[in-house]
Amino acid sequence: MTSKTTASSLFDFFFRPQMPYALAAIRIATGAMLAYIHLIWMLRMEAFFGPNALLSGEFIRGLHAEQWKWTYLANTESTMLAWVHEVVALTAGGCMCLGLASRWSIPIAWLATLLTAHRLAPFLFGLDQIVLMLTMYLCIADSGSVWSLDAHLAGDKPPIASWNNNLATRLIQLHLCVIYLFGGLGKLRGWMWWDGSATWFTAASYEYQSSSLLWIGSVPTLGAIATHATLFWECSYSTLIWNRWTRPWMLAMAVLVHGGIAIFLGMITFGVMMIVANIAFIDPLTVRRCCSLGDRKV
Amino acid sequence: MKPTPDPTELRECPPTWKWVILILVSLHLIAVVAEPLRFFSQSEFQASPEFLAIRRWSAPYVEWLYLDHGYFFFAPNPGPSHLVAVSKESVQLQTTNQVAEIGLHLDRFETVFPDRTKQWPRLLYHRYFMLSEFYNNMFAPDRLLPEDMADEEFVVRWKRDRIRYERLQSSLSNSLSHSLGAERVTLHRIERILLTPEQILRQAWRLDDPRALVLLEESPR
Repeated sequence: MTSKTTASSLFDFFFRPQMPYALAAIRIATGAMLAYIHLIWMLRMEAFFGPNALLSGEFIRGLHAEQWKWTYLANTESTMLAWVHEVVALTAGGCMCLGLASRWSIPIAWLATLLTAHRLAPFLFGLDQIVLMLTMYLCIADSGSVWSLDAHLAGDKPPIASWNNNLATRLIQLHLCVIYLFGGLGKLRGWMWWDGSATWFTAASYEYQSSSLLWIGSVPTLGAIATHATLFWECSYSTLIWNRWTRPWMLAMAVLVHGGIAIFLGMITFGVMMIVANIAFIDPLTVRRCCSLGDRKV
Repeated sequence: MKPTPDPTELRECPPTWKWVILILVSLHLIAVVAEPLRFFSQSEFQASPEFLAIRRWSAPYVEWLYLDHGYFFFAPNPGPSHLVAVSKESVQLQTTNQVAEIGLHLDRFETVFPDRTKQWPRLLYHRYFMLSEFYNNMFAPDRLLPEDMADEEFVVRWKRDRIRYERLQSSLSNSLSHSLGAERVTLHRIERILLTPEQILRQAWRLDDPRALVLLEESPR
């Protein structure tokens, strides 16, 4: 392949104009989740922010002393200021979900959530990583041009296929491949993922369990198959997701694994957001067809 | 995946921008893999120098954009869970032998987190769960064994970690004594060990069996 064709393939991969339907679906779910995340912080404001917070601003400043994790929320003890910040973040998340002033609401929701994340870093987990990742890439897309109040207020004009939609989609796809690849490589180091007992030991964790999966202990072969299927799926995701014949299987497995995490391991928010992130690998027109099928049924 | 062609109107990227954006995208993708590569390439001997250099060089971008994750979900193995128990005074805790026999009963403490009966909805509970895991990860013993004191580098690292752990302890204690209306509180680290199918399915242990709880020591033995 000549350098000219390599460049044109790269340009085609990143810049070919794309419709915004898949990104709009991701925007709606991510905006709703962002609003929910901030609502949860607001349930215990005194415990998370202010002079009597579980993790004081002084501790967080010390924790991040050698890191580039500045947030003004670590430099104030004002609970009122934290309330204002959280209300702004929740409103921005809500607007992002509804597609209201999307050009502004998505970057504001991202920035406000990022600043909260730096203040409350020790409370975070995979959910926060995935939600911030998706919101960051949505900032560069036109996801608010369909299925949004913005589009409705503008008279529901037909959407434009734009290069920045494709760029945002590609970045989500590549980032997701990195997450799965290293998630899988990490598991390859553990013996429980090889001897097939990992599914049992995650299911038998009292702190995680939300629905009982303990029956799997009486069918050890099934537990081992589930463990190995998860391991091989995660390790191969970053290659097999790009092939159109294997992609549906990879996506089906993503729904199974993350659905299982949501139902049995009590991480419904994380499980749902990982499934939402996988929408980036579905053709936007297929997403639109699926949604219009839903409309017709209603 | 073939991107969808546009049926009506297309917005193309200006050709002169494409190279600039492509360079920025490449740098961003390097930043995305910087932390997992550093994390994976670290051993007791060293951290791989080239990955360490990339991670250092990209630190401001990676850290501020919250890209510094190793993505070690349930890896390398699913591990035991950790809880933080809070008592108003220094309660007389059971000896190791007693714990092995009757288990560690959490109702003797003022409060314990995470606690799904007190922290609801589930996401709020999970926030407290992450805090208890963080508290345990930050643990540094209150003293070192004489054989460890010989390694100067180890001692320096331990001193730094111990200060950080004490600050965390003090921050949590202040907040919890305020919310519990106590003059001072004591924090205890508890580990819930992993239970085998044999213990649960044949010996009829419950998942929250007190015998699965281990009180972790603050000092090395």
